[in-house]
Amino acid sequence: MKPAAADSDADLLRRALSGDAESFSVLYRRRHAAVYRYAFHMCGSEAIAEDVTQEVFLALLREGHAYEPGRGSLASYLIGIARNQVLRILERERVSVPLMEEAEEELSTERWLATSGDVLAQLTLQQTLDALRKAVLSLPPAYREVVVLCDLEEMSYAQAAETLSCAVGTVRSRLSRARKMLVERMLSRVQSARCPA
Amino acid sequence: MMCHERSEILMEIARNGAISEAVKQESLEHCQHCATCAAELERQRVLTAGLRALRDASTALSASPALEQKLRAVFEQRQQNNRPVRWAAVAAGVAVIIAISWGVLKPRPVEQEFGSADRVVQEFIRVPYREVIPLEGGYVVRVEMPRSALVTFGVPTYGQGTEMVQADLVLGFDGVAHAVRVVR
Repeated sequence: MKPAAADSDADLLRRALSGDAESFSVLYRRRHAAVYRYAFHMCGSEAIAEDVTQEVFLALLREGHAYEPGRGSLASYLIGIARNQVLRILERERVSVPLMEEAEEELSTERWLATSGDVLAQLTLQQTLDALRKAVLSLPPAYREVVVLCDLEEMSYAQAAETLSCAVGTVRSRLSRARKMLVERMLSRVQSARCPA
Repeated sequence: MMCHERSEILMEIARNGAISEAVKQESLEHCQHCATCAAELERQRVLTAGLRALRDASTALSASPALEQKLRAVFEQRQQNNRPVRWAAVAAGVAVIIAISWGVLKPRPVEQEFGSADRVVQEFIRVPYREVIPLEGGYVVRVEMPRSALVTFGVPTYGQGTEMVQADLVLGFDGVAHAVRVVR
């Protein structure tokens, strides 16, 4: 049976584990990018993101029988595997990203704290995005992952809670704290750009 | 409500998150009179715009095409490796049945199976081909066999190969052995 775009993740996985290579390919193409982006935003490295993606799908081939659709979506299951990999890597390699000091160009207060004009247009500037990406990477992992899941991957609080195995309230409060930290770090960057020591 | 208690509400307003209209309106009205909360809401809105721009810029991020080819190759290699193993599994199962019927492996009466005098010297271990044949049901058979025969099931053996040992085999309904443990 040829896999179709409408097939559920669970059906594709079941057929892949029974030896259907096409089902595996369809499932990979459908889900790998989210896994890759999650790892990239958590580690800030394309090489690590690629390794994590590879490990996630190898683990799926090895242990996919353990997936139970009733306990959550396959997307959350895959991110859960990626999360374990990422946290292990962060612990082992102490992956750290030099923070705002290394942003190549200054951010103006007006650009960051724009209160009028087209804010979004200003924020799409590459330097601003780079600074924001570094600010996300500078958050402690527990806070970084809620920003990545809820704000960058647009998961609902319930999906994020399922992925992180925690309460919805925990996700919301961590996200609130994480966003406060992001604002503080971006403001700190702006102020240091204004008043270099 | 105190200003510091509004932070999650202001975040939800800025993210266009799930929040009741009444709570949203009350906080927006509050922001018209409170410069601190108004500034916080504006910062959260700017942050939301920034994160959405970062999300949009990340949409195209993806693993290299080579990774799909690599995983596909691993997938196909696993399939090839599994095929002879399936035959080996079936062959081993048939061998067990034949051995039992010939008396080489001597099944013990069922009532002895969980006798208190039995000493389990190891937990069940999967036979090497187990992972490719899911066990949907079966039964446990206690047998006696030469210690050297344990190698057939992937159990490392020590001592004299001709010594008879007792072992429990987990057999599927198809007679294929899935796990083994040495009892005594």
